[in-house]
Amino acid sequence: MCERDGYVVLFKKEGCTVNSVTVNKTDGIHIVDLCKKIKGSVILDHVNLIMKPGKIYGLRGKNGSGKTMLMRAVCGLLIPDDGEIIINGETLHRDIRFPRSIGALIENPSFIPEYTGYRNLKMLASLEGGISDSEVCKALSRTGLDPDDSRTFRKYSLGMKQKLGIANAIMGEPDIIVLDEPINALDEETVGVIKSELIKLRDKGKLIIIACHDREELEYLSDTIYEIQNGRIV
Amino acid sequence: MKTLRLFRRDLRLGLVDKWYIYLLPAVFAISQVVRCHTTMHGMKDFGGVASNGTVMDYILYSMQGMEVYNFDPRNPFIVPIYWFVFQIGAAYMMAYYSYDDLAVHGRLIFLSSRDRGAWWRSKCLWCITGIIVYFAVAYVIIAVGALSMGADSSMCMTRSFISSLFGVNAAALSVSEQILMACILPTAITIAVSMLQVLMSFVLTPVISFSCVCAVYVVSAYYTKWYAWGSYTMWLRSSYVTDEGVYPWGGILTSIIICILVGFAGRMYFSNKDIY
Repeated sequence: MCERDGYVVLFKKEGCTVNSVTVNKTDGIHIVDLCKKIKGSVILDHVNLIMKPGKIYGLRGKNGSGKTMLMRAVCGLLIPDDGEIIINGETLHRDIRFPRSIGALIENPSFIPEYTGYRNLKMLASLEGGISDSEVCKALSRTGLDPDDSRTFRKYSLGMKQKLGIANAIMGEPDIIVLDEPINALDEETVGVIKSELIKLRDKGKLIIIACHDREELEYLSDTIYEIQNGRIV
Repeated sequence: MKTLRLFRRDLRLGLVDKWYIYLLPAVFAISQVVRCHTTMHGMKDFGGVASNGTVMDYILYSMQGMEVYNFDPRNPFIVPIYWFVFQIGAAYMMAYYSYDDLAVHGRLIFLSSRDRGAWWRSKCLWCITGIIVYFAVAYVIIAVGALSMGADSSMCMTRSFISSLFGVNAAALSVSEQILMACILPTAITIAVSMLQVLMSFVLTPVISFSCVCAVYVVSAYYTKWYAWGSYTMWLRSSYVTDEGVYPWGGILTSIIICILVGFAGRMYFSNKDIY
């Protein structure tokens, strides 16, 4: 049993009950008793969370507290030792291997250094399928990058690399957007642009998860903030 | 479909963008053509052979490896350097790309493709294609080099040349047997070893995996056994030409079994692997 936003949330193996009313698991992300150990160290310790579409969720915590690992787990990159992640009614690693519609920026984005930003995103879009060239250009423009920029990723500044990572995450407007430290290395003007884009996406019904060290920015953007300490939601 | 999309990406990044790796089989082929031509010319001068040879003569000369080695203090063991460099070149080509792709681009690729199995399948296809192209570059340059040296375009060897040069009974060898032991078998075995190397690079490290492959080839040069897989890549050690040799069809079967086992093992490994 744990407390969230003034609600008493009881997690049961077969379902999830909020104030004794069963929550519909077909919407958003339901994390139930999630545990993960890596080389003997506890990374995620019985994490229970409910995240709904159309909201921005902030994750706060010290370095190594488990924010990024939780994000990786939600993305399907990490295999849980115990517990479940249910996304829109489907259990990760049982019904699906990855969330059906997700975009993520986790840590430093590592694109192909010899390719331009547009070419990098186009290649990833082709792997994903169903994302048109115009959507690739739109994603770049939304983050303040020029789709026609002939510079390769190698020649990008730190901020431009970050923008490209965000453009990749929001490309095609996925249902779930996971952003780990998205405003790192960005100038004030760009931070404003990114914030307004995220709010627009939230208003379109997208579920956004953000980890950020900047308390003010996180509080401004997030509808709900979760604090993580030693792999536990506190 | 996802496998094909990923495979296309692997072809672009792992083969086309790394075209310079194929300079090694090209240099190997050119050097072997020159050596073979010089040898043949020398034998011609002494009346050993009457013609300029055929394309198959040049291929057999290039892919000879070494004869079965039996320990003798008067006959020190020397690794056949041309064969060794050629095989190690293929192993080097396979050493880093897959590992780096996972370590550097893994998150982006897995999240875009959303298919762990497709990623591994595309790596297997990339490995197979990479080795086939590697050998094809060598064979094509050998063939073009042989033709430019005045050789006949026939895929049938000049028996007098092969018999007198290698001291083997070449009379009984059919064209299909020559192609099997000099072209298909070395390619198939190298594909199997490379696939195993790629998988091992994730479980161990690329350096350890590459070192293991080097060790396998050195052991193969010393021992002519079914488990010393490199022996299959040297036609002079084929059971078609020596009683102590390894069976070519056994080599084909070995390579198929290794490829299937590696394919399944990789699938299991990556379906439960954490991507950081």
